[in-house]
Amino acid sequence: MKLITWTAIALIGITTGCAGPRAFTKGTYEDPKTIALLDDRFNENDMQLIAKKVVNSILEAPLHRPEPAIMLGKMRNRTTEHIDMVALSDKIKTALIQSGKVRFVDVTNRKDIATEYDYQQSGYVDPTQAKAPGKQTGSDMILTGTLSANVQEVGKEKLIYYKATFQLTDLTTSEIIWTDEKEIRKAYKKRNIGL
Amino acid sequence: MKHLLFTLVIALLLGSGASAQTGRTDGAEESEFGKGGYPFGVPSHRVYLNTAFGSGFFDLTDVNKTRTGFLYGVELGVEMDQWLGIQAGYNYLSDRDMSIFSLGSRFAYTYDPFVYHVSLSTGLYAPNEGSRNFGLAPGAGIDIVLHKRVRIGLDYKHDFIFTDNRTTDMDRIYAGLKFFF
Repeated sequence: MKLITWTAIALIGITTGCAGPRAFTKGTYEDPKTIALLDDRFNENDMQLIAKKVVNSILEAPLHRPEPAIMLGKMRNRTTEHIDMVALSDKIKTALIQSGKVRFVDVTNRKDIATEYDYQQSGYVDPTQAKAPGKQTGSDMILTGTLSANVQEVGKEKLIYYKATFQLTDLTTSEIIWTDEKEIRKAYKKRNIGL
Repeated sequence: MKHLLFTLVIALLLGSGASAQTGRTDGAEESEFGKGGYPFGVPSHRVYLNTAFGSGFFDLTDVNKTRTGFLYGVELGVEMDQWLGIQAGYNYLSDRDMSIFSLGSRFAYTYDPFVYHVSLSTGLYAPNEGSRNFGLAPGAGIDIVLHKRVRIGLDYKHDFIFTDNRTTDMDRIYAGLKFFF
């Protein structure tokens, strides 16, 4: 009888004794397109869904000119979360460039390009190969976007709503020639993740 | 009894085939609706079946001896959450020719691949000959997760059987194979 009790206690003790500090040491590569909602924050799936909608909508829209040159404007994050808007705009830009239907001018590296012009015109570079200012492509349109969110939380239930609105503005006329939005609503239920 | 086992096996096979779809973001627009969720945890409200094989130990205070008997049984439970479940069970102790019907709760703590649990159940102890008695059985055990739906475990229960004049003690140790549906 006592032997049984002590055997049971010893078994629990032995297996519990293996418990040290825990760390993320076991992992697998996963398909990034698979929807996984590990927590209630903005995630890569939300970004993929927004980018997919925006890209498809721009490619289907009549933009009034063949292969327009687009510049990336401000991407505003109006939510209370930290969201990498550069990653979102890069995803849209990559898909649009790969479609071959639009062109993008590089706004981010303008300063570096100007510095490189100065260097190439300084006499160090072969004059036949030296690049000079004055031949850059002028943007036809500017792509801007805003991400906003609304959260409803009662008891165990939580609803998170995101709305991403993007627009293309003609730089000649300042007309908005295309706009579209993507709405995402995620429903969560609180549950215990341990004792 | 055979019919019941056959039904449970069929339910297990059907249940194992119905895995949850997580959905993808590269499908047609709105094809992702209603899909997703936390894919790594254990789903709640799962029904499980535990088969038990082991021994029961009776302390015979009159002769200062312990008698041992073969024990087998089955437990059917619902795991409401990873840590909480309720279960009903039937055990048969060969030595005493006694059936034990129990109902109780089970609290678990998962530390992958182990699941530690404690339980408290009330029971009806019904020998083939003699009077039926009521009892309480606190217990503890360890499961090892072999698969999302299969665990192997070792359980210990101490029974306090309340008879007219005294309380009889019994210990149960049994190994079990647990299937989740």
